[in-house]
Amino acid sequence: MEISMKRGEELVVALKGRLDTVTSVEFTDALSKEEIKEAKVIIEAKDLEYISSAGLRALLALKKSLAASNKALEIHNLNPVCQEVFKVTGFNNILTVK
Amino acid sequence: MTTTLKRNSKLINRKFITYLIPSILMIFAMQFGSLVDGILIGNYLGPTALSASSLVMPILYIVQIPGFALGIGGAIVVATLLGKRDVIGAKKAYSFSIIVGMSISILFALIAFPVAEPLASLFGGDTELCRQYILGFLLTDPIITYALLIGSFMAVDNSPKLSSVFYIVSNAAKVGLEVLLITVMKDSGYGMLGAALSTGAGYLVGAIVTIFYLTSKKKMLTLTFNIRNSGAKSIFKATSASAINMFLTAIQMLIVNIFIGKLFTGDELVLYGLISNMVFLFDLLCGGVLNIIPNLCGIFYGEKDYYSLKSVTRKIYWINIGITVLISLFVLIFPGAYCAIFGADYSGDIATINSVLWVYLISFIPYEINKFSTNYYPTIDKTVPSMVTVFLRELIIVLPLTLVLLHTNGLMGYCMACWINEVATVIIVYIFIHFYNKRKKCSGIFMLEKLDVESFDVSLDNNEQNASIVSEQITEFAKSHNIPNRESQIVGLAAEEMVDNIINHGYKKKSHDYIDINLKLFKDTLLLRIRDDGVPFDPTKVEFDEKEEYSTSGLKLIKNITDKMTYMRILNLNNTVFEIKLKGE
Repeated sequence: MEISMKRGEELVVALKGRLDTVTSVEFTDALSKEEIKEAKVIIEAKDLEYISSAGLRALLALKKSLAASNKALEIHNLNPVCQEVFKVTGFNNILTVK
Repeated sequence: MTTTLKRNSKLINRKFITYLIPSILMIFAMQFGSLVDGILIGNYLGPTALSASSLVMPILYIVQIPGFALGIGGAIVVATLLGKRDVIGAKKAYSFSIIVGMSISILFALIAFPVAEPLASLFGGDTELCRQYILGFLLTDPIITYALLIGSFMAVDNSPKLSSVFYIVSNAAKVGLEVLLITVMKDSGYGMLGAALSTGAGYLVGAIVTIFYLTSKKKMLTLTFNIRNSGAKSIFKATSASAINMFLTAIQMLIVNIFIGKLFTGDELVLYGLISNMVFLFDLLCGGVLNIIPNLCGIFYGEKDYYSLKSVTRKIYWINIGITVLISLFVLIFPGAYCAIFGADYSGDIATINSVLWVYLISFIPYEINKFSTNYYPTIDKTVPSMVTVFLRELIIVLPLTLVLLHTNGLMGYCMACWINEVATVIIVYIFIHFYNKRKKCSGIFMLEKLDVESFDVSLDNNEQNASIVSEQITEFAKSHNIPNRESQIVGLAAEEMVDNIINHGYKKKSHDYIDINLKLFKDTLLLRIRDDGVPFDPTKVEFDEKEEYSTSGLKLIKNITDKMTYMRILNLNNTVFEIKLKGE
C-alpha cells in the first residue's frame, strides 16, 4: 500500500492499494510518526481498492486518537466495494464518509 | 508482493497418520482375533475341530458379507456425501446401510437352525462340528454385522481412534470369552458352538465403546427411517466390488482347497499351509493401510480435492509396496523363522522351501497392486475397474490356471499360478483403464475426471502475513478469470478474515500449523473452502448483536457480506465454506 500525505488546512492522507492485516499496521505506524496539527484529517480513498476489518480497526483507532484532541476524521471517495464494507459493519454510521 | 503460496500436503499428512495408525491396529486386532481363534480351537477342541472350522470358512465369509461389504460401500458413499457437504444425504446412506445390513443378518439368524445342518453336510469332515460352527456364526450374525458396520462409519465420522479401540476391545474380549465358552460348553459337546459364539460375544462387549461414539457431540451420522433417496444405487454400486470379492474368494478358496486336499499329502501339504498363511501375514500388515482408502479418499473425492486425494493415494500405494517388499525380504532371508512363526513341522529340505517361497513371494507386489485397485476405484465411483480386477483374479484367470498348473507342477505350479494370475490381472486391468479413461474422459491411474471449473489451491502456515498474501492472491486470481471486481474483493476479504481468525484463535499453542485454501469459480458462484486443524470452531454458530451500531468483528463482516457460510467438521478438521453469488457490476 502507498501512503502519501499533503499538509494544508487539513491533513490529507491518500491511500493507494489495500488496507489489510499487514498494511493497516504500516498505516498506523506512518500516522503515529506524524505530528498532527491540523484540525481535520481526510483519508483520500479513491485509490483504496480494498479494506478488511484490520483496516477498519486502524481507522477507528485513528478516529479515537483524533477525537481525544478535538480533531475530526473524514473518509473521502470510497469505492463501491469499500462502501459496502463500511455499510455492512456500520462504520458509515460512526465515521464521516463523503 | 514476492511470496507466492503453493499447495502442499502437510495438513493432510497429519490427518493421514491419525487415520493410518488406528486403521493398522484395527485390522491387526481383527486378524489377530481370527488367528487366535484357530489356535484355541486346535488346542482345546483338537485337529478335527480345527479342520471343521477351516472347511466351513467359505460359509463364514458369505455370512459376513452384509457387514463387511455394506460397511465399506456405505462408508464410501457417506464419505463422498460428507465431502460434498450433504449431511442429510450422508445420514440417509448411513441409515440405509445399517437397516439393510441388519435386516439381512437378522434373516440369517432366523434361518440358522434349519440351514446349519444341510450346509454342514456339504463339507467333508465332522458334520456336527461344522454344524455347530455355522450355527454359532449365523445366530450371532446381527451382532457381528452391527459391529462391522458401526466400526466403518465411526472411522469416517471423525472417530477413527475410537473405531480402532472398538475392534481391539472386541477382539481381546473375544479371545477371553472364547476360552471361557469353549471350556464351559466343551463337556456338553458344544465346545465348537462356544467358539463360534465368542466372536459375537466379543463384539457385544466391545459395543460399550460404541456408546462413546453414539453420544459424541462431533458425531454427524444419526439414524433416520426416512431413507427415501438414500443413494441405494450408489451404495450397492460401491458395495458390489467388496461383496463380489468376498463371495468369489470364498468360492475360489473352496474349489482350490478341495483340489489341494486331494492332490497333496505330507510335506507338500505342510508347505501349502505355510505359503497360504503368507496371504494372512500380508493382509495383516497391509490391510490396515488399504482400509483407510474409503474414509480419506472418499471425502477428498466428494470435495473434488484431487490434490489431497492423489497425495494420500500415492502414500497408501507406496507404503503398501514398501511393507510388501520388507515382508518378502524377511521371509526370503529367514525362511526358518517364518516356518517357526506358524509352528510348521516341515521335514523336507530348505532348498525346496526357498524355491517355492521365491516363486510365491514375487506374486505379492502385483497382489497388493490388485488389492489397491479393488479398494480404490469404487471410492472414486469407478466400480468397473474394481470388478474387472475381482473377476479376473478371483475367478476367470485364477481358477483354470491354478487347477491346470496344480495338476502339472504340483505345489510349484500353484505358486506359479498365483504369480501369473496377479501379474496378468495387473496388466489387463491397466490396459482396461487406459481404454476406459479415453471413453470416460478420465486421466491416468487415478482415473479422475477433468474438473470443469477453474480452481485456486494453496496451503499456508500460521503466519499472520499470509492472511494478507492469500487474500491478495485470491482476488488477483478471480480478477484474472474475469470475475467482477466486487466479488473478487469479497472472496479475498472472506479469506483474509477467516485465516486471520484461525491464526489468532485456532491454535492452542505456538506451533507450526497449516491451512488449506481452495477457491472454485463456478458459472454463477464462487466457492471458497478453508480447512484447518485448529480447535473445533463453527463460525456459523457465533451469535452477533445485530443491533449494535458498528462492529469491528471480521467474522461478522464476512458472515454478512458473503451469501452463505457453512461449516462441517470433516476428518477432524474445521471446514468452512463461503459462497459468493456473482451479481456483476
